[in-house]
Amino acid sequence: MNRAILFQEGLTFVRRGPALVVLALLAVAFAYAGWSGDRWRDAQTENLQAFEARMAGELVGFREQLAGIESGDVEPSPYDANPMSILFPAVLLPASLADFAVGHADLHPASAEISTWRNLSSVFGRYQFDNPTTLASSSFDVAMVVVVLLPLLMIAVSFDVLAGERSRGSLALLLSSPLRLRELVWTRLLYRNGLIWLAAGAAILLLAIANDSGGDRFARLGIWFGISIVYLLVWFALIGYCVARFRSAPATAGSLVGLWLLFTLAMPASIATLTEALYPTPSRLAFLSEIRTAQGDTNRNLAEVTEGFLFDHPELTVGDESLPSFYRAAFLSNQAALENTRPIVEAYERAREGRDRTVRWAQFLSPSIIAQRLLNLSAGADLQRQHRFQSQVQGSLVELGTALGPAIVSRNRLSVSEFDALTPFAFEDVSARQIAFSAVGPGLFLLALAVALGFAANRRLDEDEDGSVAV
Amino acid sequence: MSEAIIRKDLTVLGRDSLLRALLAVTIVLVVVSVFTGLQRERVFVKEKTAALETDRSVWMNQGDRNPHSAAHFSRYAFRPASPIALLDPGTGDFAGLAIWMEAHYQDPAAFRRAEDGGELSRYVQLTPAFLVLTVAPLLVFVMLFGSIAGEREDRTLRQLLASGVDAGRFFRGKLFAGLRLTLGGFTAVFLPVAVLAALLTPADLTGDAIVRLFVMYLLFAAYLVVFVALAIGVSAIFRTRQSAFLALTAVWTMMAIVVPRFGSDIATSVHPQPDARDATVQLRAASDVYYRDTEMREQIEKDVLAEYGVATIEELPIDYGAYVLQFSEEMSEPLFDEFYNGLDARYAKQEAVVRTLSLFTPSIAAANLSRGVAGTDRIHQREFSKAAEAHRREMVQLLNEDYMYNADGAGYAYTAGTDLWAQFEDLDHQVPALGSIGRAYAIDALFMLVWLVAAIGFAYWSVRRAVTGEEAA
Amino acid sequence: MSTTYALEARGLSKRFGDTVALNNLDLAVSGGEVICLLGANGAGKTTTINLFLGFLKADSGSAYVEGIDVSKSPLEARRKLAYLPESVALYAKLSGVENLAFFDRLAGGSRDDDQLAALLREAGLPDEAHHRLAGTYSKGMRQKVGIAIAMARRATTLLLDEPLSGLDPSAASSLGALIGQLRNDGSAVLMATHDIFRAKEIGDRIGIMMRGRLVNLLDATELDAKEIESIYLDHLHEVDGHAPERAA
Repeated sequence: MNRAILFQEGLTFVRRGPALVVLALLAVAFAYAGWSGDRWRDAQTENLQAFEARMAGELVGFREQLAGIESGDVEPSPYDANPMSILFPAVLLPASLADFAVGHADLHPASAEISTWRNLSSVFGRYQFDNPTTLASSSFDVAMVVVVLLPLLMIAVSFDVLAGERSRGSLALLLSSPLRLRELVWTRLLYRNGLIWLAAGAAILLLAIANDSGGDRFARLGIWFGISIVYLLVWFALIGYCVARFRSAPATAGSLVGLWLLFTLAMPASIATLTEALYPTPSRLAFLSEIRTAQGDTNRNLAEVTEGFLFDHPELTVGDESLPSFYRAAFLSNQAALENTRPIVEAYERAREGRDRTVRWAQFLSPSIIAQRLLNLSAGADLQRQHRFQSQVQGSLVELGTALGPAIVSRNRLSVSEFDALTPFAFEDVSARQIAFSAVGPGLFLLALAVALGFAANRRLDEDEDGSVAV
Repeated sequence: MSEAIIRKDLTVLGRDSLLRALLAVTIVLVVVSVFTGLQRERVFVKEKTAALETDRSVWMNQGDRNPHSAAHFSRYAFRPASPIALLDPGTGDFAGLAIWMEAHYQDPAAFRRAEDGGELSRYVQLTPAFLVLTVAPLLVFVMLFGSIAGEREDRTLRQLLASGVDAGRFFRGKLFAGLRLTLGGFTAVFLPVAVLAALLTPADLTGDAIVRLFVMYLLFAAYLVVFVALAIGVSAIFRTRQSAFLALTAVWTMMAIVVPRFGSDIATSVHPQPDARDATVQLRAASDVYYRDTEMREQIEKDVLAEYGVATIEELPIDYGAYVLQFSEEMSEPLFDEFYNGLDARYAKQEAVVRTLSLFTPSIAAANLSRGVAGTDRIHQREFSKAAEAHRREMVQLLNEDYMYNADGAGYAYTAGTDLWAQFEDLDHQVPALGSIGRAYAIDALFMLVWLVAAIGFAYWSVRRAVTGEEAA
Repeated sequence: MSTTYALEARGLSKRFGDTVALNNLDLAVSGGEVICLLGANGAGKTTTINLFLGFLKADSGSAYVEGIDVSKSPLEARRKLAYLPESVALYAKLSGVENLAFFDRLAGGSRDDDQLAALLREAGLPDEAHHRLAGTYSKGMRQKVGIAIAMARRATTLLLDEPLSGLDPSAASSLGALIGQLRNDGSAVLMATHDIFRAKEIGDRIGIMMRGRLVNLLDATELDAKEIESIYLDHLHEVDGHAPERAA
């Protein structure tokens, strides 16, 4: 740090229009992204909670009916308090920092109705109501501003830190005073980027406080800050390196913009293409066909399938035979569908694991991918969270089928105590501590990369200085 | 006489090794994107064909059962594959592939391929359209940023002007050099890709597909012309290559990345996406509208008895249960229409918000048109879902009427068999001809045209200004 | 207009804001004559040349090139001219021959490579340099290509703006000889310079410019360099005695 350089920067940099334009753009981008993310999260939370409350109300009604029947107060119709009417809601509430990144959260189902009427293809209900046009373009969220826009703004204010002096010939003048080249470069870069970082940090903190919704928000925010800092440090060091490496401003700017393009667009696109080609998921339509076949077979052979089930459960005595057979048929065909689609579900799992594994390694090719993944993770907008929700719902569905199956096929009701013993769905999320733990490795990698680039830049700057070719 | 300038510019650009490297990388990307595009379309068509066959066979082999029970089991309608989807998969992956044509319900299209995408493809997908709409403008900018700023920086512009070159001739020379290189390169890449797409498409190659390919070529070419003109115009504003480069990078980031994303985000902020839970509740309400209204149900029973001149349901020559099923269907239909039309209106409003931002970038209109021409946008999806719904209504009616007229007092115990099932055909819906839905793209086409004229006008204005400015320098 | 001069200025004035760049210039250059404009930076030499090129609009007075009023038809006037700036700007990614070919075509010419090479040779550019990229040229080589461009134009009226500054002595003298050659072939040359000795060597007449005024027009054949220098310094002191001229 050199006070004279800082002073000179303070005078010249801020006086120029572009710096203020950059800061203004940044403020607008953060403000909009924060506002839009907050709006999205609040609406999503509200909708899901309303859904959960409605379903909970129905469950209370069911239990009252069941209790009434058990106490003999009510003469039941065969349809009353039927075990197939038990429906547990499952919701994936946005995480406490969800307003910072929409990520994958807008594409996947966020609620499910766990009921024996449902199979794996129908448990999430009808949810594909979004406009595909707007859905196809990912969100303008705080994560995007940090990962995509901030580096570009940093490049815009930094690329001419040395080349400008070189071409004006004022570099020789500067270096004729007792000043090291590296001191000049880093002081200036720090001043210019420091302004951007301060503005960004303040904006993020403001958003975090203004849109606070409780929970582990500030723990997640800490992780968010940590990742953002090491990610931006990488860009900072990269800019320093390119400034040292390339002599002319167009070459510096060109190479930095090229790297930006590579890291934020080309690499993600290529890795996405590669992983999806290496690990194709099974066809959703094949999955559908399997379910249809299972349902068709069960319907056609309902009598045998029922008999088989009852044979497996010799303890059962058949209850009210006036209940239409399609109840039993629906349950059994869904059970058969669960059974038949298991290999496909497993194939899905394998494909997902393969992709996860590949991306976990391939992410090291681009700091932007690492940052995007970790920011999504800390905001709870990662794809894995969606998958966890989906497989927990599946598990819950299987569990409910096992618990209710005997009663449904034998056309009996549950007892109130049996009903009370059923476990409603509760999503098990990863904790902020676990997130921090998985962020440590890639985060340290980014830090190491930044340090290495910084050293490389310094070496070049020193060489330049010693070889007196700085001018 | 601009020819001398064009030839000189082409020679100079041809000697730029960075440009040659970039072109090579782009060609590799094009090859990869075409190959993977072809692959995904093949997989899609194969999966669709297999699913359709299974669906038909499961339907035909369901055995003897009550037609209404069959109507619940029902069939799926599958979206047709557009023969040129590989050029631009558009929003197809974000819309469902199949619609369940169930009794009592108009379902949204389910099975969105995007849900099976990896975690990175949510952000960017390597497709030919992405390369043309997002990457190519940057290439054009990298190629042309020094077009005029460079001549100013090197003082060769002054030399040119002293030789008696006027602004018009200079502008034409610069523009045509940029166009010749850009459009020449684009055509050289597009032609083989188009031929490949036409020859290898797994879907049926129709005359319409050829028309679409041709329109696609015109659209992309016009889009690139806009960026060539913008590059020259912006380059003429600046005195150094460095400033021109920086300004064009900023222009590209705004036009190709920020504004389109911002547009769709703000569209969903202004007109939020429908809540799935809420939509489900509305659909349920539409579905059981008949069953909720006890008074009406009694009235209808009286009306039917009166119509047939009998006193009890048992005396009716038709199956009353089946009659009611069909009646309730027909009561729900306008409510479904209302719901889905409302949804479409909301989508259209969102898209209108995005489209408004066409004032700041040609990329939005171009992307809309590109998806439309490729047959992979929401408008094509809507045509599919409309066709599926019409088919559903027809088929459910077929099943209900069979039940109604043939049950002969057997009620729910009545069963039908293969003869009836055979009458429930596959949905026969093809990608509509571009001409028949072209009207939907009028505004986007207009925006494109305005951009074309405005960009060329801007470039001319800017070059003139640079020339006069240079003279005064 | 009785005689048509190659270049003629009549009462030509130009001002930038408050500064008078050129004040009521009357000057005529005939074929077969070299006039050197001598003066310090800001004396109005380059402004004069820019006015003849039509790059600037005169506030009053007129500039004529071979009888064409520059302010009325600048393009036509430029087509009669060849212009050699202080530093000839060439396309770095084109060779010397290609640069020449480009400017030749621009002027409607269609010389083949041999003819272009002959021109470059005539301008003094060694053969080995013809096909090298102009980006690798020294300043003297660029000026020579500039001369070749001027010759290719077959223009008989030349405007030279400090063409010799920054050249090494041998390049400067060979370029000077070349200009003399063009004059002998009948060209009219107006050359701006601040080098008294070169002006004396090349010019037939020397115009001394101070603060936008042509203060003296000397016959170079009758004076030696020392005399010209002392006249120049006299004028300089004369002007320094007064406050800088300002527009009303």
